[in-house]
Amino acid sequence: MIQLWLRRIVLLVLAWSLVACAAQQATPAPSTITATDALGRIVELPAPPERIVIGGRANFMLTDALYLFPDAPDRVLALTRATQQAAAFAQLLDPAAPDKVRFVSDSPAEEIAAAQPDLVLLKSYMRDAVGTTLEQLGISVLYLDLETPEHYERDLATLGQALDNPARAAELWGYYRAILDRVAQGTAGLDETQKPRVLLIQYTDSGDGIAFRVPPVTWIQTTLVTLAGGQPVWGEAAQGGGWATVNLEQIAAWNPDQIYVINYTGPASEVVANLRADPQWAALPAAQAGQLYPFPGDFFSWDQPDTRWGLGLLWLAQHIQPERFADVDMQAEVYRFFGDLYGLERAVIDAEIWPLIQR
Amino acid sequence: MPTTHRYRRRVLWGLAALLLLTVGGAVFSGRYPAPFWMSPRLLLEDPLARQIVLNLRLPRILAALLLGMTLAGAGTVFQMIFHNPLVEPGFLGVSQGAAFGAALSIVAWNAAGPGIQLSAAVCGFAGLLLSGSLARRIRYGGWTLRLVLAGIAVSALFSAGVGILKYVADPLTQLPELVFWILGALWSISWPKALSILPVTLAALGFLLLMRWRLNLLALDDATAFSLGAAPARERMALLVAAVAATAAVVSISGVVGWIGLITPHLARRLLGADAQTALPGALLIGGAFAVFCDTLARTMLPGEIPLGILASLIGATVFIALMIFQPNIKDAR
Repeated sequence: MIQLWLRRIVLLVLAWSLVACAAQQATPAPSTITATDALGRIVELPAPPERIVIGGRANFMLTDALYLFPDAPDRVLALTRATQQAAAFAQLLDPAAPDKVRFVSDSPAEEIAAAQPDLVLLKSYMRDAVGTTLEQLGISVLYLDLETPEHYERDLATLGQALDNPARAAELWGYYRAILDRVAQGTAGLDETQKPRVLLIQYTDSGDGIAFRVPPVTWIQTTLVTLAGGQPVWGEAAQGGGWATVNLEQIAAWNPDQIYVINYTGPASEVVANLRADPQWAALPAAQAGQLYPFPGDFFSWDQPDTRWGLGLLWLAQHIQPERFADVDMQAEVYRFFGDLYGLERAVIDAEIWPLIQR
Repeated sequence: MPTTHRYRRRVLWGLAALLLLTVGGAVFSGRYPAPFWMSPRLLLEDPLARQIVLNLRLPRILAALLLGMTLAGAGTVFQMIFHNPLVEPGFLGVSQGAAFGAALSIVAWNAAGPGIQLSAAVCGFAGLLLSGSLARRIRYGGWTLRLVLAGIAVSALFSAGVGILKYVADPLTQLPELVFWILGALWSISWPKALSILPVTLAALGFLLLMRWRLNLLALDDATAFSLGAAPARERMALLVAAVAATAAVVSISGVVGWIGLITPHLARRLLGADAQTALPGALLIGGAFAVFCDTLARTMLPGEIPLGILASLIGATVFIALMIFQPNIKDAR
């Protein structure tokens, strides 16, 4: 009898232990979020960040990438002052954005730390200037590059990890992947003779002189031209780390089949109209053949390593290889980009975006 | 004797021929239709080549010529008046002052062409006045040392000012323009811009050439110059005003281009002796040829433009080192 009771007690204890263990396993453990940034650092966050600061230079790229995630407006604590166009676009995405602009691009780490962020987003090259100090103060910093399609694949995934929304990151990269695949399919089998010689130049007018600059071969502008089925002619001029100034004489010597003009400070269409009226430019074979184009843009020019580079690539492919991309509907692409990716309503796109594209 | 009148005339004619050759070479050098050389025949056959030569190369060559001659002339005047072979417009705060003035007008007032040039000219003058005033107040050392110290200090102040303006400038619109001012370049030159400085520079250079024989007197101490019939203070001021006005004008379209004002007077004295009557025109010819040569390299060597200031410094410093190493034989010293 005693043995029987002992057996029952032992069984009860065992059963209770099993239930207790099972219950313990079912209780959510306090987990941390980890994200691997562009510098290969593993950043641990105790929870999805709710007080994000976007800082440093070239911050509009970070802002535009972060706001691809639907709950970004609620999570962003502070933004950094950028151009007027950047501010206007940020306000479209987040009506509270003007009130969130607290910093300038060179704000010191102490000032950023005073805002008590739980995550600071910076471009990788800002680490020495401000990032290291923030890290020493115990503030989580996520470095992103966002300069090439490959960077976008990696950095969107990083943002997805940090915001605990990897599904959205995968969805976003799927959008870019589809564009890359479409363009690769359209340009497949082209030999060199079928690729026009393309020049892409940035126009600047300081009031004291006009300059034309070409981007380095490693920058996204060169990549876009190559992917779109063109031959960039300016490679030899742009081996350095930034835009290289070239004169009209060199442009004439390159004798490109097509010229695309970028203007970051106003409508490129006005610049192209002026160039077409300029006798020296009018003498260029590309201008005479009607192959002098303004690079499109809305708040930002589409040539930049901003989230719009997919639109820029499609538009460029349609102009460089028109027969192979005749089916691309840029209007639909614009609605898709701003509607599906940023969640802007069609009426907002019609009122705020289209007028800028059509300038 | 190598310093005879005939020898000097020959050297001057030789320098004039060198300048003409350089200008001629520059007209047919560039990146179109292929790097380095354009056949003159192309001017008749290719309308685009004609456009390039007439509207791009010629105004730029004219601007380089004026730049080189002005800096050389101003350098010669400065070195003789201040009895200091180390001074040039850049050493006395004129170039840095002009660069600061241009940068200030770009960043603070978003100024365009004439506004930038005016601001550059005013600050260029201010640089010279500050250097002179400071040198008089320094209580130790000779005049040469004091002037060099004052010039370095004033230039450093203006450089710091340019640095601050560079720091606060808009990276997209204003910063590239400031970098242009700091490095110096002629890629934005058009006919209107080149012609805009022509009156000031021609008047100033003409005045310096007319006054070159007085420079010899003004290079002496005040008492001696006065006893020989000169009005040292007034005449020196007139020469300095002419030199600074021309310098500020050329710097306002080219940015800061160093070394030309320092090197060319030395080369001219080496070839023609210390007499300003021949040394000054010699310096003008050498300066013009040197600037045209450097600018031709700047727009020809690479597909992208090389800032003129970088090339002028590179070549100028090399020549300066050569001048220091290869001292003339004492017997040949003039």
